Amino acid sequence: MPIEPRHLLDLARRLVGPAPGAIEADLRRGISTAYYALFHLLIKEAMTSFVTDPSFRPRVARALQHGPMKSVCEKYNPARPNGAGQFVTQQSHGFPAQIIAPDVRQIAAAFIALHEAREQADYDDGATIQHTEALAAVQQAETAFQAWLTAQADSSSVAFLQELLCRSIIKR
Amino acid sequence: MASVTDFLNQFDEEGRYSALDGVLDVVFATRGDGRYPGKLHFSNGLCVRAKMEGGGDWAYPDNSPLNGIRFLLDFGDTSVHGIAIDQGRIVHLDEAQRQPTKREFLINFGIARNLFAHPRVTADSPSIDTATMARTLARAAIWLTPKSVAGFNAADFPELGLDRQRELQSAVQDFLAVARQVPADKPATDEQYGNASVAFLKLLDILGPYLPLPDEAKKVEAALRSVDFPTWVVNWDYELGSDSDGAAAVWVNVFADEQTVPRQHLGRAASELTTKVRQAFSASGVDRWPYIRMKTSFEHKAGLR
Repeated sequence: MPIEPRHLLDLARRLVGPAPGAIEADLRRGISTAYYALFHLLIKEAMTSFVTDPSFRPRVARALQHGPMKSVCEKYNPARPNGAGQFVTQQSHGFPAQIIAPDVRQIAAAFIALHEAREQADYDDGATIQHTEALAAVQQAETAFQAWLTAQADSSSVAFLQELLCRSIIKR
Repeated sequence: MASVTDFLNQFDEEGRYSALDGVLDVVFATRGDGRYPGKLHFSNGLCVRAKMEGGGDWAYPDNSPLNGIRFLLDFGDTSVHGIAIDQGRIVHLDEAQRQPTKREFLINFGIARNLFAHPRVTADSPSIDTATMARTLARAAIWLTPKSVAGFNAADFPELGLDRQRELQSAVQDFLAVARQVPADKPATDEQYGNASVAFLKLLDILGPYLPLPDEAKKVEAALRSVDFPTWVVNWDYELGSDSDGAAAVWVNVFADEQTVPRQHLGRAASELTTKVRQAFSASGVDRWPYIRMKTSFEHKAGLR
């Protein structure tokens, strides 16, 4: 049965809860699950868009890797706009320069933030995770899910997914 | 949970259980902070069984006294206690106390120093009155917590000389005297804020040389000062470091006001703040990715590091 990103997001919400009270282990798992919800959303969208044979999708999906995906997200988050006030990707890895839709930038930024939050939640024993931080992480994932609904109408979202897939494969 | 004294008072000088037969509730502990409730069973004054709830137990098939077993027990104080069972008698071994280090103290104090320096007061606003400013300062004074000097031990600073060590000790005591009166979920009063500030400035005067600010940190701090944080942010702090991929990063700790923090929109707020901080960094030539961490002022004051 395929992984359903929406269910992971629901689980993250339940683990963290709307108000303080969850134990730290739940908060940590909530942050991690929020990240994985977004991770699998992007993979699912990429697979549905570019792999026509559904039976082949799970195998291709395994090619996507966290690090290269984060690098692509950084590319889709340039620090400064160009002279026209547009945020544009640099031409690289065979992909042309691309004007980035604000929603795509937001999703990419959420991925970067959640990727790091998940590293802390899963591995940093010295950190104390508290409710506000965990709730913010879950809500960032929620916001990214919402943003995807509108981002997918823009051509930069297609290029974004293509790069997520191709950069992971090139790395292998 | 009984104190260690209450526990030990139930045994005679040789470690025999005074009530002769019975069961005592205990909490077995590990040095890794594991806690496992359990029971010690006594027969004729000697321990014949130690049982962990939901776990195994220690006992001989013939119910003879336990021998040569050592446990760590937790009595709810700051340390765990080593207990040996010798021929069924209870022997208190030691207090396996973990001493905080000078480094831990300086980390705690360094965070407090930053929070002391970053309160969000729009002092340049012509409309703000002194009472409002005082309230805002007190609300932002999340450095006013015993945690700020946790791990302090004057003996860790022999290089200061005896007189300066005494001054330091005295300033810490003055600070703690106020900090312990301020509830984690309420701002300090004007008087508490004033008294604590005096003590804190004294601490800064003595400990400043232990907390150097590298040039890049000064640049980051200046950039963050230019950020227009939302009104519900009462204070902020930052840490320089490398992220999980080894890239240069800054963790920006944003402390939100308990009453006004928009709990329904934290995700969006974090995204917007990331954008603002990146713009400020870009304008200041700081090439580090900012990671926003949100806490409420209560979480900072009440929580552990």
